[in-house]
Amino acid sequence: MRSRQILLLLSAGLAVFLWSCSSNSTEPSPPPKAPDSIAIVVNQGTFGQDNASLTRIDFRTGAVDLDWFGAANNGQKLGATANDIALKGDTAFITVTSSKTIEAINIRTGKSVGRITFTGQNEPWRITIVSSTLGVVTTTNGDGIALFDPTAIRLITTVTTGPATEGVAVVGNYAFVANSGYGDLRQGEQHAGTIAVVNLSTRQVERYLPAGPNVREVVLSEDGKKLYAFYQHLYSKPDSLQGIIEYDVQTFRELRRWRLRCGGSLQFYRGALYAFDYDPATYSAKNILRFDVSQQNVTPTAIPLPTGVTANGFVINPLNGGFMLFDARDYQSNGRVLMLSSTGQVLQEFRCGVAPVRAVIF
Amino acid sequence: MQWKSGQVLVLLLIATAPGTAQHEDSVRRVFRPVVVEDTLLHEIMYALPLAQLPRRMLEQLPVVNVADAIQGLPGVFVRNYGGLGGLKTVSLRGATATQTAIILDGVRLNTATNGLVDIGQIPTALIEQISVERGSRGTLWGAGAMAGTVLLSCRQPRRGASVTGVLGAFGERALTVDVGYHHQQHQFGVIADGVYSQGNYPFLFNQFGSWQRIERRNGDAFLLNAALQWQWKLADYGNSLVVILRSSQRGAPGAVLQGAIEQTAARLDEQELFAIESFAAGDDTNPWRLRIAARWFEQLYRDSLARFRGPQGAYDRFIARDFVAVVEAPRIQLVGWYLEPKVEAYYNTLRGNLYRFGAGSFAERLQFGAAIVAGGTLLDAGSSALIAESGFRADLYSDVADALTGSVQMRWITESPIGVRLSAGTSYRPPSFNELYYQNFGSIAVRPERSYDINAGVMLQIGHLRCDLDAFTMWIRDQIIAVPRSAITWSVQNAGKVLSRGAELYIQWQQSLLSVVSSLTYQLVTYDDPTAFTYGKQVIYTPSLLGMVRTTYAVGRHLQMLATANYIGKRYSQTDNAPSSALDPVMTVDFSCRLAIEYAGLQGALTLDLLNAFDAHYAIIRNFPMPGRAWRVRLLVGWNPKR
Repeated sequence: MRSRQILLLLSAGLAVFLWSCSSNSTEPSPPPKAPDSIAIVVNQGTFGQDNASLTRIDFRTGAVDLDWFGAANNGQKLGATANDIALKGDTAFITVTSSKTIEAINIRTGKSVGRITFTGQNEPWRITIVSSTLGVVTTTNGDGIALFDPTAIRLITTVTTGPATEGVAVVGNYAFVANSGYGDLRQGEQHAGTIAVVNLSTRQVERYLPAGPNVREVVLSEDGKKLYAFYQHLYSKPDSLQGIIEYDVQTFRELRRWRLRCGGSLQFYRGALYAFDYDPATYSAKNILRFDVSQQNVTPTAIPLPTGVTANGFVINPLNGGFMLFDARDYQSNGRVLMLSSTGQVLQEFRCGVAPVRAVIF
Repeated sequence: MQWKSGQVLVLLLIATAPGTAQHEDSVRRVFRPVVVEDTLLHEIMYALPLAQLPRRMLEQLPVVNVADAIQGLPGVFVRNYGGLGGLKTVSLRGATATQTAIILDGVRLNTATNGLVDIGQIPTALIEQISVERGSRGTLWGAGAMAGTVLLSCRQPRRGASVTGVLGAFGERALTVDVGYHHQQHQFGVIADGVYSQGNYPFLFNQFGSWQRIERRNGDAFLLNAALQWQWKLADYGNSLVVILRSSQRGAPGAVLQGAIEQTAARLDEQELFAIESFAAGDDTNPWRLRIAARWFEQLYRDSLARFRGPQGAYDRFIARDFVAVVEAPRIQLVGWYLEPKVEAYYNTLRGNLYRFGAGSFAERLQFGAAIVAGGTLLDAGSSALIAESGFRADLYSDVADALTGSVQMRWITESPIGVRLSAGTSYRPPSFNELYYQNFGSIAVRPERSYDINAGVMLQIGHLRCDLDAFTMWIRDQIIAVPRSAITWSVQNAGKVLSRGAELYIQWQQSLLSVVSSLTYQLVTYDDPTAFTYGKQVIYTPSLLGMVRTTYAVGRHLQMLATANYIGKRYSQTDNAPSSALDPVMTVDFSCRLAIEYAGLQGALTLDLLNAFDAHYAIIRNFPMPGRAWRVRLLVGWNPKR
């Protein structure tokens, strides 16, 4: 009897122990956490000036830390020509293209927590985090992508995909990589103007999707079933159009193509595609275009931008569904961040560093 | 063509000039030549402020090229990318290099290709005198003479021979051979100058939060220049032929960035043949002059690591051909006034593989210019005189808008040691081929730049002291600027309005053994478009304050000590003048010691130079570091027969 009681007690204890170690999927959900209402803005800086920076904006207080990275790291520079940012938990990864680094920072403190340094022609450009152990970044002049471990903050390997890689998107086991060919400069090379489909398990290019000259950006729909690519016209053919292509991710088939003067800062948000109406002939954008891709026949809706703005990029603000517009002014001065409503009205304005281009909001 | 108020004013002045004016040479009776060692001093008072560096001074200064020589002169700022092979251009009164005309023996060197001259590629060994004239001279020199003019004279053939060898820091080696021969009315001269520098100077750089000492990479340069001269002079006819051959192979290193150094494999090879034939006929003091010049220039830029240009990198070849004819008629005396007519014709071509997609790779320009200058004495009161000069010029172009320019200048001089000058002028600069046609950069829509300037100055000379003070204002509109279209792509447009105003002080004091020369420039050079957020901001890479002090001390007959301090004030690399973009002021100090002996026609000179003696670490252009402390030893051996 005594032994049975002991066994029961042990069983109960083991049960409690195992329950406590089980997946938290059975836990009651924690109350939804209010967003911090903070943005980290990536400022490209001017080419060759080594003045890329991060600006931190606290929307609750209106406080702006113009060179947040420098201030948090004893004046250290971020480097030359930063281009993208991606989050993994409390860590942000920033690609610093000309400096050939991915800088990892703690998003609470701004302190550098690690750095991946590239060599040779590899210059990190667009970045995406796939999982806690895999991140993918395009290497532009390195003509491929690099796979890295965002937890260990170390490079895993590189994969050659085609000339001048720019945009990248990952769904499932596949990375879709835009081989831009830098427009005219490398258009004659093999696989220029295509999207390379890379099997991340085998680390091999499985196929190339024909796109168009100078394909620069790729994004996925929220359900991961559609891929959208933006291709830009060639400077040698100023009358040529550019546009956006829709692919089926399962079959890799092109579904639709919209040929018009648009593109740049391509984003997908709540069933719609957003892009500038950027015209490379005049180097300017006057609107953000919204494509309701759920419709069979899509007519983009124009959301007008404020006048006097040199639009260098935008992100959709998850806090209110509006836009965060990056004004590079003359690209040689500190820029501005304009908070726009979903209809394009200016709500707030903040200072930032030179040539703001991307941001994360959390 | 459009008539502007300034041009109309000039014509009116010419038309209404009094008929009793006298010859300009009357000025010389007041400001007689002053015998000094440092001949920066002007012999007469010029209508525009002028600083001169004659051959004797060029030999004393610790310099090897025109860029090093003119830094520190009033109003002069050399935009220097560092090292022997680094680009060096002149900025006068805050203007761009393309807004300053560089004239060699009466022929404009600014090319139609890019409008500027790399004055670091012109060795002082080939130069007899450098004159820097500040203020618009568009009526005389045409395109580009907006902020001023750098006038270069080729070395004159001399009897004898000399060899100069140079050893210096960072692998610098140089050899100059100068041979001259006179036979009856003929003078022949050959000057060859070769210089090599490894250019691997160290500099301090903050990388990932720590200061590191890095060596400049790909900074080597080999520059070879030669001038062949033939002068032939008869009683009423003179001929001068100068053929300049130039060849250079150099690295073209880019910016030093955190984690990367740009263009570590970029190379620039240049070959040039430039010939100037000058005829003079008629009265020796007032001849007809005809100058004919031809130039062939080939440039090859290679960068195997420029992968954005393809797997093989960049390989760009440009060939420019320029032909010039200038006719200067003798001065015409007309009812007490004098008239000086001049006509010019330029034909420029450029062939390159980065021009005009789909429209070939060839650009050409034909330009005709005609100028007339009228002058005389407006008022002569015996002990003082008011002298005026006006000019008008028209330039017709085959590919860009035509241009009219005008100027008016006045000088008031007295027998007391003071003189006053006042001038106003308009000038212009046509867009260069690069600005019109260069792939992804040029725009055929750009218009010529225009400038309007006023200069007022006073000159004082008391005993051993000479002082020039000039104030100026210059307004430039339609300035062609490269506007970034993204963080990495740029293109040009007429977007700039710039206002430059300031004052320049030049002081010289000299007695038998000691001389002190000092210049101080204060300039406010600001963006002037009231609708732009940069309005009132200091133009990038344009310091407000520039200064120079040079002391020369002779110890006995053979030894001379020279010390030069150059100050460059704060400048910005961002158009909004953000404090983080400020480049700190810098002062560099150079010392030079020269021992020269001469005996029975033989001459020898040993010069020791210590450059940047206090090892200032700085950059004129952000991320293009300048050399720190350096040394140079120069040894000259020569034979100079007396007649």
